[in-house]
Amino acid sequence: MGSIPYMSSPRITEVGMSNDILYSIEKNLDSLTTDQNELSSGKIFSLPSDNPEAFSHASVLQTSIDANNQYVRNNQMVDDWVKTTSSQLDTAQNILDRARTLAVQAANSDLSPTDMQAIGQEVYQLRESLRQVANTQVDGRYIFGGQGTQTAPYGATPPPPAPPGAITVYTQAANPAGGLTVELTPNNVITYNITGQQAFGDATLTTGPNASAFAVLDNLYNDLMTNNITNVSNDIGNIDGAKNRITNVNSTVGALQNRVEDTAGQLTNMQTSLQGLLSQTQDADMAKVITQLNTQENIYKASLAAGAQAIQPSLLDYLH
Amino acid sequence: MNFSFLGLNTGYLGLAAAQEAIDTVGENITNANTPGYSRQTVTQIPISTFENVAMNSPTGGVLGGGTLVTQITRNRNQYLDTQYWQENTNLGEQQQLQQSVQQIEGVLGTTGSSSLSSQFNKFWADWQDLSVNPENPGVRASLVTDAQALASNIRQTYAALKQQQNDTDGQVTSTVQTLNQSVSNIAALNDQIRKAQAAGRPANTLMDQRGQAIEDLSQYLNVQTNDNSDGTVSVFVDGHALVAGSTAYPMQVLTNPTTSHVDIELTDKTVFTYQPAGYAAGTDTVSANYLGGQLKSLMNVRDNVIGQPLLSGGAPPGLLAQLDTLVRSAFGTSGAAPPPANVNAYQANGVDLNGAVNGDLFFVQQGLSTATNMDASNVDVNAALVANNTLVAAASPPAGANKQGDGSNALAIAQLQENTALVGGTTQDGYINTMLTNLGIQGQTAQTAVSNQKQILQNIDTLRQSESGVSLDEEMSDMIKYQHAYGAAAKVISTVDSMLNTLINNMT
Repeated sequence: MGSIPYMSSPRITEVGMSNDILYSIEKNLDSLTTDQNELSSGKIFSLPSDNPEAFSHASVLQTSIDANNQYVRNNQMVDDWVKTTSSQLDTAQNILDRARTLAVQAANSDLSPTDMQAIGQEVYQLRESLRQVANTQVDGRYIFGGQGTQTAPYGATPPPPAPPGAITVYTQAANPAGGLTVELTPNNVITYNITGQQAFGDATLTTGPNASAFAVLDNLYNDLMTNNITNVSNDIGNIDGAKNRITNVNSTVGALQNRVEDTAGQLTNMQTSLQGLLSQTQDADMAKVITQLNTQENIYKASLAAGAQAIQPSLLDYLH
Repeated sequence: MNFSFLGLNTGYLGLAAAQEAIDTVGENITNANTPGYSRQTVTQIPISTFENVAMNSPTGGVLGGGTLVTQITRNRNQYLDTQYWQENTNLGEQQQLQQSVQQIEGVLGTTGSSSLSSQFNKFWADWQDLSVNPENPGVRASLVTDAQALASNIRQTYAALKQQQNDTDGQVTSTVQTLNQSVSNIAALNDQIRKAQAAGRPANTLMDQRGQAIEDLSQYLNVQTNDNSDGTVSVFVDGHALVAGSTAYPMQVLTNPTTSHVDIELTDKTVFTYQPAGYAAGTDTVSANYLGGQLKSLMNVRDNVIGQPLLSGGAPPGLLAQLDTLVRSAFGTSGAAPPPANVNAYQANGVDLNGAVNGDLFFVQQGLSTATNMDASNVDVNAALVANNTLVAAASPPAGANKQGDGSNALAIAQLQENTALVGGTTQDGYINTMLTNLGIQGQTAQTAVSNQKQILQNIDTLRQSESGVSLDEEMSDMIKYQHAYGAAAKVISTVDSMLNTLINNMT
């Protein structure tokens, strides 16, 4: 009869009995409702007051998961960029290789001016290819443009067809500059771009070892068109310089690529373990809940049946 | 020899006693399920005919003179009642607290993508996206839209809490009206009982009604009672009289000058409040903690848990003040360069997509371009930025033409998410988390207390029922008993009657 911790009552009344039964039934129904909610929502709590500790923990985990997802997105974006940078640098390398071969051929073979000019035409085409490489875009952003990602770093308009005679060696007022940064993992900020100056040299200069690769090729073109074999021999050295610059930069990019890939792996692992922790914290153990629910249902039914039995008979039934 | 008609008298007294007993049984049975009813039992005594010894006193045994019902006892354990009322007050207090906290949780404690926490996470993530893609108009548009959603959510949450406060005022006012009716009722009952007792006929049913009225009162208020010798019961709250004898001292609601919410004032001008600061000096204010019951919890949740806005002098851990602190600390109230680091500080000093330092704030007071008086009730995204999202400053100073790709200022803002001193000495998420967890703990504690109180009340009530409850079986058997007694007494009368008949008519 209810759950009286101390003495039992000397007098039992109908009202007392029915109050006791109602109280027990209400308590059982309450437990039943809790289990049912857990089963239907799949979570052990719906409001903070159901389980403040689990709520707090789950909330922190969810924020970490959201942040982790963002870092994954950052990582993917940088990955695209860095891969493109690497492959474009490879292309630039090939262009310069070809230019060197042509220069060697021109310098060492006994070629007529007409032949030299034919080689010059090909150099002109290589020069244009290099310009296009240098103006590569990823998602509408110029990858070698430094912070000026909306402006083509090396001349937006293609040059006219090769004129006869010498051309003006390419130069521009300033080099594209500025680093682009990204946060790969919390407080791990890296610069992910290679500026045009780092890859192709100083475009404000037209001669000398630091001059841009464009200037080098323009000089080669001019030397070929004017049949200046001595200068062509010297140009080979400059082409080597330009090639080395690209090789060095490309290895930096390679290292960057490794770093990005490693981070991607870390982030994926983090995602898995965070999701697992969140599930542990807030998900209901289905097997346990279903068992509990069944037990509770039985208890409830038993209390209803007991109640029905207890409050039926009275002296009234036996008097005539 | 005894007086001849003594037998008749004795028989008649027996009839009367049995009659009264059966009437009492009938009263008990009819009221078996009446709430607050105490079963009544008759007290019968034999009548003594003992006189002082004198010369002509009869010798041998002294015959009694019948029976008399001296009183109809109301079986009630007053101590159990007092205990019950006290525990009932505690239940009322905890139940109201649980309900009110649950209501707040419904507004604040949601989980999923519409929760405050998730929207903040989205907001910081958008700044990350901007840091790696500052030129992209889609990214800019997303940032501004999500920021507007965040601001809107904050305003709505704030408004819902304020609404709950206003609703509480309505509840307090109507509760006071109900209580005043109870109080008048108790005073009227006191008057009737006093008169009945003075006339020597204690009014059992009136006392039951009065007990029930006080019990109903106890849920709302922490009442103390004092039994007076004239049969009246005085009712006090925190030592101040609500009912003294036959006089009622009703309460009224008073508007608090600081908060504009309602406090409770007694007839003797004592004011129960949690915000005494605004009242004139000399006003007798008492903490509303001493009210107890539902009223205490209503006022506690309104004035302490939800509290007052920060700019009106409220302070954390009141929820309104906490939301205000969150907005003002995380978003910043001016365009001054960091420190302290916040969204507005970076936005106002950064370089926009047009290469200029435009000085616009990101979050402002709704309708204005400043954030000096910005708080959780009026926070919004600067209309200038909504109209033209190229003004969002993703690049770091100094100004310059070719910096469209620079997202380092946006990165600095995104990194505010990890700033462990951003709001109240912790991160933005940590602050919200603590706010909600504390609320959750309050709710859970109240839940446990309600469950315990219900158990305690059940135990006390079982004892009460045992003392004062009607057992139909018992009443049935009593009824049989008195019915037989009635029949037997009637038989005595008819026997004596025929004996007298013999004496009077047949002895000639």
